[in-house]
Amino acid sequence: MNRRRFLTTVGAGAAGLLAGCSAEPTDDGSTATESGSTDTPESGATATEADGTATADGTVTGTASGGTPLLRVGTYPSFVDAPSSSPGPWLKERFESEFDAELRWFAPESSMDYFLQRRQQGVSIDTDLFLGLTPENLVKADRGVDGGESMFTSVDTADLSNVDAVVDDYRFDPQERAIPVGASYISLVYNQNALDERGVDAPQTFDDLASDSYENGLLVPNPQNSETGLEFMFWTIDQFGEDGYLDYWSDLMNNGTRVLQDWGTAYDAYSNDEAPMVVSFSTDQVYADRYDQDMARHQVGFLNDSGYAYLEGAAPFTGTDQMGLATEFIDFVLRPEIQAEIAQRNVALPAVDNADLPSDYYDLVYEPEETVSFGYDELMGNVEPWLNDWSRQIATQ
Amino acid sequence: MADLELSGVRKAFADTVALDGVTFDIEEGEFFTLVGPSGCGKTTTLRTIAGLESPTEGTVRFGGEDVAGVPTEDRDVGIVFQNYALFPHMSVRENVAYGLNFAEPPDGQSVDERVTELLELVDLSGMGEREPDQLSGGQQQRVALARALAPAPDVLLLDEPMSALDARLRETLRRQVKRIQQDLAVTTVYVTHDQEEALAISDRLAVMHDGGVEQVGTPREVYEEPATEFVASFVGENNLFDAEVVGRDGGATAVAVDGTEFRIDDGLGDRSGGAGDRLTFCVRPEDLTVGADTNRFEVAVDTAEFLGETTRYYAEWGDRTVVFRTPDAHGGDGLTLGFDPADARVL
Amino acid sequence: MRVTRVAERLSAPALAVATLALLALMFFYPVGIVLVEAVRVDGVYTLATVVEVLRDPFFFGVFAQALDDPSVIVDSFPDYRLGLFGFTAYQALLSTIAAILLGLPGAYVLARFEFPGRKTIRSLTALPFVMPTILVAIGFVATFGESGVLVRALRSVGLPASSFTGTLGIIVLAHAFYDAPLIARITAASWEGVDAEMTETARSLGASPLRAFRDVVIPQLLPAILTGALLTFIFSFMSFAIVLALGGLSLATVEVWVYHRISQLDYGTASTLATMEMLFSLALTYAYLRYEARQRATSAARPPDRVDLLGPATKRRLFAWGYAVVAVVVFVVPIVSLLLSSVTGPEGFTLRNYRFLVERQASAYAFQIKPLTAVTNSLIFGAGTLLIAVPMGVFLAVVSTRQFRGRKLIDTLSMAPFAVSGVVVGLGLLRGFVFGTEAFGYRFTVTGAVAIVAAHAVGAYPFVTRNVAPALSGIDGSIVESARSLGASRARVMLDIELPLVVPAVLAGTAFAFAISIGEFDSTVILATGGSSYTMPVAIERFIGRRLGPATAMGVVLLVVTSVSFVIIDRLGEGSGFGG
Repeated sequence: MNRRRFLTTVGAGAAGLLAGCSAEPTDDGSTATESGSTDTPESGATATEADGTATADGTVTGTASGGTPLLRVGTYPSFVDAPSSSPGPWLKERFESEFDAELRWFAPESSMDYFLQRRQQGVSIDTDLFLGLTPENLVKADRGVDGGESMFTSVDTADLSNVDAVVDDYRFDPQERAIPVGASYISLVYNQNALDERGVDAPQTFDDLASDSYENGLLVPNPQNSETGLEFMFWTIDQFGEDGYLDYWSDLMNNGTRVLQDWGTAYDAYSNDEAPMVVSFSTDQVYADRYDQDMARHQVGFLNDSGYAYLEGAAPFTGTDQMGLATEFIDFVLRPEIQAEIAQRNVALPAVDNADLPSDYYDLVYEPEETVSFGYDELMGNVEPWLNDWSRQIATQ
Repeated sequence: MADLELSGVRKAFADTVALDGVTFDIEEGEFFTLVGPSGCGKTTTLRTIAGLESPTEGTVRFGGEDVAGVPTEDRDVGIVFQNYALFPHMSVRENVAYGLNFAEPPDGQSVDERVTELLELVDLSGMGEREPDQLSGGQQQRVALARALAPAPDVLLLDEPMSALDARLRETLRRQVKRIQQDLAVTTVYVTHDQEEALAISDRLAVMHDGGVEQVGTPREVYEEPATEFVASFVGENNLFDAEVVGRDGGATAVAVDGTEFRIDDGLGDRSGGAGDRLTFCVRPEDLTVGADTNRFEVAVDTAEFLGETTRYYAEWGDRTVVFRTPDAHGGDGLTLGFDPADARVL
Repeated sequence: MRVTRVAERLSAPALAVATLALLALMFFYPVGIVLVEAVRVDGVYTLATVVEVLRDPFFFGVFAQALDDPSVIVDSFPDYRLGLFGFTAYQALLSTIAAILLGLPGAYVLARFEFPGRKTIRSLTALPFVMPTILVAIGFVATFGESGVLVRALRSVGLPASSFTGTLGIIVLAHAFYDAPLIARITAASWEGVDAEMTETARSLGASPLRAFRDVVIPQLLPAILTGALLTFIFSFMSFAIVLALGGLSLATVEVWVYHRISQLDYGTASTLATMEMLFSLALTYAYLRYEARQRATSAARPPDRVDLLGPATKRRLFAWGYAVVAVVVFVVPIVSLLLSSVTGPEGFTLRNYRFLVERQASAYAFQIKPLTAVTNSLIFGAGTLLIAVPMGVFLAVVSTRQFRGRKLIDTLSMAPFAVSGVVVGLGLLRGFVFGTEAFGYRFTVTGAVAIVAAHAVGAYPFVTRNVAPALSGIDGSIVESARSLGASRARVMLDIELPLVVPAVLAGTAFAFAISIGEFDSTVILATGGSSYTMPVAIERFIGRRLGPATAMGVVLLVVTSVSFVIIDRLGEGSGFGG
């Protein structure tokens, strides 16, 4: 252990670490400065300024190199970086080919929470709009700022050429900040072979799931940290009402249902035959087909002829300087051909009813007869008590 | 001026008092031994001198200067521990050289020269590159000695360094240590529980018991003129008799032990006391002779230990056990022992 | 000479100040700003939230009920309601027992037997620690699940068997998977220091081998076992991801709730729960430290001979072989299943998943995660972690071996990171430093990468301390005193003598610290936001898709990188084993 070498290494390392720290004088009255945080996408670990200059109200004028306007779009990771397919890269290239602008994706692990935390602490967000906003996200964002300025702002829908084609059932924001841009359906995915072995048919109703024939039959992703699971819970609330869903869940759990960590874990368990049914998406057969699976293991089922609509919208952040470009982007995303392409790449459904999907698309993607969906007003103030009560019941010891 | 002075040193721990008023002086260049049974405080005394313990009361002076508060590393001492405590991750040379990180070698020598010189002194030349775990116990002890001596300390402290060695090796090393000490003339404090060893190598020694010093003196003084009962029975073997004074008998004192009368004459005169007083006297085993003329009493031989040059006998006299030595063979009952009145010592 | 002496005298206090300052900055302050929410409601300081939680039977079961109505203690005997805390403690206790049962025989085999690859296997005992939850979940489902290896094997020999998952048992087993190797490793090190002569003496006095083991060996192993048990208990107590992945929400622990309340923006309750978890764990640690007999890491005068594992069957060997079978099933099969699933697809054997990693590395967009970058980042963060955690850990170990008032308290505090949830640390660092703190007219910020290193270092240094402290206190006092008598100051003794003698322990702690850094997820995912500072576990999570293929491939990469690192670090320590 050469002492000198050790000390030089420590010294060098310490210098490296110190390089990541910074102290900036605060302006009078300003609490948000631009100093050295990695909030700037892709800036890694340095203390330099991001591309832009700090303005007094804490936002950043986005300019890419060379003067092209820069649109920063936040989204959830699997939209841009899924192992199978994601629409993000394609969308970027298509957008940039048509518009004189640079589209920069930004997909933090914690998704919406990332932005909410920063807004709550008064740190600048550096993003212009968010794509992939669910109704629950929106409600949470509004509750998070607790009467302060909303995180999102609305676009002038007059500027959205295809906005009238948006399916009515999909509209979830009365303030029209979030414009629906994609959808899917929460449904059961079940293994017909396994059910045959039990000698039962496919489940048709919620009550079926809680009945003896389907004992130890269902895997549900945890609503606490999975939107899939959360929306399944909403689905049961829609079915049994605020006062009845807890009893239903009591029956479900007594019937051997398991609530696993998240969708990935639940689906993996299902694939390993831990249970014959799992709460998932009605687009399941698209993947199964892609990998030549046994279709009997990928049967899609709706309950009580209904399915819960998993909705995604896009909304600009308040404080953005690129309102114009953001509106153009949303308009672009709503175009029928773009909607069709996004749907296929995202393995989901378009938000508009005039998307040019190939005719056989619906061979593998299922829609329910009746769409269930809670919008902003129904969710506001309710998500927490519902989830809380539900959680406590499930986890009671 | 004495090189090392302890004065009224008292050391109390949480639940025991280890030292209770220890006082002695050591001259420069002296080989001074602290000897006593385990628990008597000799190691604590050594550690106090070293600075590893600080006295609750009393002073320790090095060359006249009070060293209270001076930490061990600043006291000019060298220590050899019972288990040698060699640094396992260093070679022999590195071990010996360690103290020279903090002190210049004497006489302008280089570190290497000094180390070589010391290895030669302890007869370990050529072993410099060995690791401690490759050495025998005796060799390790010598390395520890060389290491302690390398920085030319003012005082050399040895804490029972021979205990872990076999008897033959002990004797050889004992001579070596004594020779080295005399050559270097370094003040040495040596701790041992082996009184034979203490008598053999010391210039002077202190007999310790229960945290206190019973007697300080040369080996001969301590052996021939023990000051207390403890010293009498601890140093060498001894026969102790408690007796009642009968009276004066010429220059000697007449005493009675269990009815048997003896005349003892150790030059104390009237100090022995008057008739009726009690006293204790001792007679060394080698001074009890078979078939002596004076102070006769009859014993029955119990066991005999052949020691080579002589034999040690344990004999019964009444309900006492008596020890005597003679090269001749004896056995059985009805043996008469006796001793010269001058060989008795009153304690 | 005087200047060096003064410098040496000041070195200890200077180091103390530096360490405390670092700790305050990296740990106490960030954690403080999160936990303070427990006593703050709308900016006002109050104990209302705390009281509310204490009185809630959901959390505290029969105790909370008794606060309102003491008679419930009598009435509901013996069916007491556990509450979330009670249940969490209960499963932690079961996990600890399971880990000891699985780990002790492993220590026996490691310490007393010789077999090819022993040293490598010893290095790899730190591997389960690193494995992210999702990988363990995949491996366990593949082993113990309905179509798992074990179930199918049992059925093929005619035994009725069904999936073990979804039960408390599988969670306990998963905890044991993480912690039994830790117990084995720590106990084996202690076992190698047990003197053969003691057992032989007991045997000569008439004790059977088992009796001698119980009366002579176990007492000497007890400190090591207790250390391992304490660590296991705290980890299992704080566990959450594996609970949800293998058991389900009905087996939720307190940490699940902390996470849940945070995501619901209910920082008050989350902080209250996190604080209670922390206090409980710290209390346990303090109690343990008070009664701890310091582990003796000295080499035995004569360590017991090793028996060859391969050879004619004796009772000992049979036991070892039996254990080896169990160990293979519990530890090796899940990892092998993981390996297999990374090269298996619907079409059978395939390298598609690895090809995905290569292609992604080559052609990823800037906003996508690249595998190699994740590996490099993990390694860089690991190195950065070691840079901070090892000196800090060693220093705290040195402090803990000095006798002074309040030593046990400092020791307990230095274990605090064990007892605090990674989510809280990450959140605190995010709020405190990435977002920035205002003081003296300046806003202090650090980059996410620096915050990540801080989070990792904080989680890692206790491992270094807990490895080095027993080794330091096991050094023969007379060696230290000899050095002092030769003129070395306290600081020089530490540098020249004591630290070189504990290099094996430092390296052991280093390996674990590295493991902690590599496998850390909870804080990292909060801090690795959006930029390019993602690590391997984050990448694995990102690659989870409909089929877990790419995720398992990335997982295998993580396992390989970590195994190689461990073996390197551990082997560095070979040849420097001096014991005490």
